[in-house]
Amino acid sequence: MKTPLHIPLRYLVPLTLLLAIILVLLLRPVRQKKARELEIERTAAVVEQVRRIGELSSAGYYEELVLTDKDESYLSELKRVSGLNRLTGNSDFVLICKGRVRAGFDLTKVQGSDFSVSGDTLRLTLPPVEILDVVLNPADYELFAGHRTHEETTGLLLQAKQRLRADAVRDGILDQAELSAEGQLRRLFSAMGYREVLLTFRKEYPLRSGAGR
Amino acid sequence: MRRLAPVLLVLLLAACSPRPSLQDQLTERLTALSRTAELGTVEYTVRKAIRARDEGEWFKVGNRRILFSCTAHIKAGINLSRIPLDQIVVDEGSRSVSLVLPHATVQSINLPPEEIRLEYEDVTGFRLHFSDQERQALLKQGERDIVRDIPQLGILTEAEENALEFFRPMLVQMGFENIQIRFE
Repeated sequence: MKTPLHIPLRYLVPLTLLLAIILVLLLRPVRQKKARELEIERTAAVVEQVRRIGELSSAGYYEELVLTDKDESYLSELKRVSGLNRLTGNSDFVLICKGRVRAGFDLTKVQGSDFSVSGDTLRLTLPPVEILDVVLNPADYELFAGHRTHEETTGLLLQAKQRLRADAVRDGILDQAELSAEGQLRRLFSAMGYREVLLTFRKEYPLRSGAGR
Repeated sequence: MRRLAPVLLVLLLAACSPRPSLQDQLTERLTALSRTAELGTVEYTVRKAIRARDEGEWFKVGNRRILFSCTAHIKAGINLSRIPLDQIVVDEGSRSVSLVLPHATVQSINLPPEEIRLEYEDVTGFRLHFSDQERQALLKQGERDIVRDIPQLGILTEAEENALEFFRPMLVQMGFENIQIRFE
């Protein structure tokens, strides 16, 4: 018959201490991870401006792009040539962006003479199609590699926005916006009883300089 | 050898032909052009401060604090493609029209990168500066907070009022005298 394990009292205290230390060490990473989280303070959003607009957004464009900012400093070149970057990693900065572009018409630019009705014919001349927004919010990009200052990252994001805008125009967002608006407005006015809906577009095609923040 | 020569030639040509770069391949796959029909009627410009502090743990000497300010442009309006066309009732005799518009929705939330400013950063003791990932996580949180606060701004009510102001004069110019517009 086996005798129950009997631990002498003089070993019990150090053993308990040892167990406690092991337990603390095991739990430490969990506690540290929780403590490491940043404390974000709640602040209210303040409405600065309310503006009445009349924007007919008739086409959208979505693109995912990878933006690389190569580190061309002397030190980086040296690391590259010597093969040291295999150990330390290179300092190129890579961003993966998912941006959206909206295009359409600023209907506040429609003047009285642009809109006329005679019998069952409706005539409407729309202002030139333009890029309304280029959206690249913090949730729309991901830092893949490297690090830069806040200002440097902002510079890269602005480059990404320019590319998004250019790619959207190249892929035909402005033509698509005209086609889509034409179809939609024709449908709407026809439903109101107009047999003939004559839509024309003022052709300027400039990329509004202040648009597409 | 004679049989092998054309095969080798084809392989050589295939190897020499220019291949689209990885970026080009990615772009081709990940672009999408879509049709929309949204009438934006109001834009709210909202400013927000994004603040965070990191006191660290007892064994970390020093604190870290950071403050960003950002501006968000929120546009709201109605989706024209959701106007029920079969519910447009026109009576030419009495020059009246009845129209049902869909309720307003938020159409775009834009936080331009150039309007996100790092106003203050304070790192003391042996602490490291905020990393790129930490800064972006903070900005993402700020964006989420702005989105969460949208219902309290009253932007949707204003968007619907402006939509009425947009449609009414247009319908008057079309010759209608009795105009009924409601949101459903």
